Amino acid sequence: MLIELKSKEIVVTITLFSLLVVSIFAVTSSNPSNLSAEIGSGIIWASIVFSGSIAMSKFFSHEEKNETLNAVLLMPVPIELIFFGKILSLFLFLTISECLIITAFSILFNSNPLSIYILIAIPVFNLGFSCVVTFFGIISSKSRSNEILLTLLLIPIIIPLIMFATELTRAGLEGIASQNFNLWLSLGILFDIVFLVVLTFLFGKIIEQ
Amino acid sequence: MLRNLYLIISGAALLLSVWMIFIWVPTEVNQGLIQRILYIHVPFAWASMVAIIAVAITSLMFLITKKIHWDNLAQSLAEVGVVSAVVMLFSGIVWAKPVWGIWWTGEAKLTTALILFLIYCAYLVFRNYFPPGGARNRIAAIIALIGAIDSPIIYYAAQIWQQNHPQVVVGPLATQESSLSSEMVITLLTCVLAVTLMFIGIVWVQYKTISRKGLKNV
Repeated sequence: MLIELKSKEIVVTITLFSLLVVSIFAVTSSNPSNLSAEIGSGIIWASIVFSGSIAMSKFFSHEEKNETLNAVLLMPVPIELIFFGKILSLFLFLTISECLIITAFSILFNSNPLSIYILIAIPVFNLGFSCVVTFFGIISSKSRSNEILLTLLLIPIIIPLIMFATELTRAGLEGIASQNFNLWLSLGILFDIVFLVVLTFLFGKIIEQ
Repeated sequence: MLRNLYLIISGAALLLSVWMIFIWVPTEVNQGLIQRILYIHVPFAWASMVAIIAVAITSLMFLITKKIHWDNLAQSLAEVGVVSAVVMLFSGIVWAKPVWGIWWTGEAKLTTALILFLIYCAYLVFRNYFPPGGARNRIAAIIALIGAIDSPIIYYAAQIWQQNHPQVVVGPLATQESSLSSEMVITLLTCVLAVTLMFIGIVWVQYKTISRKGLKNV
């Protein structure tokens, strides 16, 4: 994280890539101001997932190149704390990228996606996403074609989380109460808890490999 | 001897299924000829779902026992399971268009099947991209287990998303009285048996091939 604060390479990658993705949707839409909520929420989360996964693969390839993970593992702290630390740093990067994407979306599509629903969706999504991306990022950094491998492993696993976030954002864009809000929220929280527990346990196992 | 007997039985079951599908079974009144795709779609859906469960079980066994034959079996099951899933998805799409008027819908079973297919494709891609060795095998087993843990969550998400798929009409999970005639049920069960025998045979051949390759690399 300190290396990133100095180089700002990942933040720049996230900023430019997320702006590019939202801009592509804006220029290919004949009437961006009149976009349906369903498509709008899809654009927001597709941009977040793709810019997030690209930036994360860069993050882990840097780690592999500088052998920072090996250095961190030498510290006398429980391995679970290292995992939680990585989740926290990715959570922050992702939040920055989401702020940028939502701002770009609001300007380019003349629409306001900010609502209580998206404010609930963001932390729940970020926790699950950071948890899964940390785990698969460390695995894929050891392989050739790590960028493509991370995306291939990550996206199918987090589909329930994407559905959760998209559904809540759609309700926010439409300005109506979300149907099945409790069910969606319980799904998002269930995903986070299951993957946080399971991947924390498995993290030690893959580090041993 | 046993291998030849197995080949004869599974070959005969396949031929019998083809005869039943195209000649013996009556045409369904509402859907017409296209309904016969059921006898392909359901057995391959069954085979791919069994493969996914079996990959998770064999991966778990590999992580517990550390015996390489469990990993080879998991890989063979995943490869044959992915091919079965392709047949299932393709036959489902071809069936949906004339019956529902659309190629695809975001329904729970369809979404779950598609995502599980993608997870097991990623599992196989990982096996090819990661440097071979013990670490690759153990991480692949962990990925298979994560896929298995994720599947009920995917199904739950897809259930909330939309529910307009035809109800199960045959078997213990049937939610309504079966609309299939007895000839149709017999044909369906024969096709399931034939595809299962074929599936086991191909998995076995693939398992032997992978095991031989592994021995050569050692």
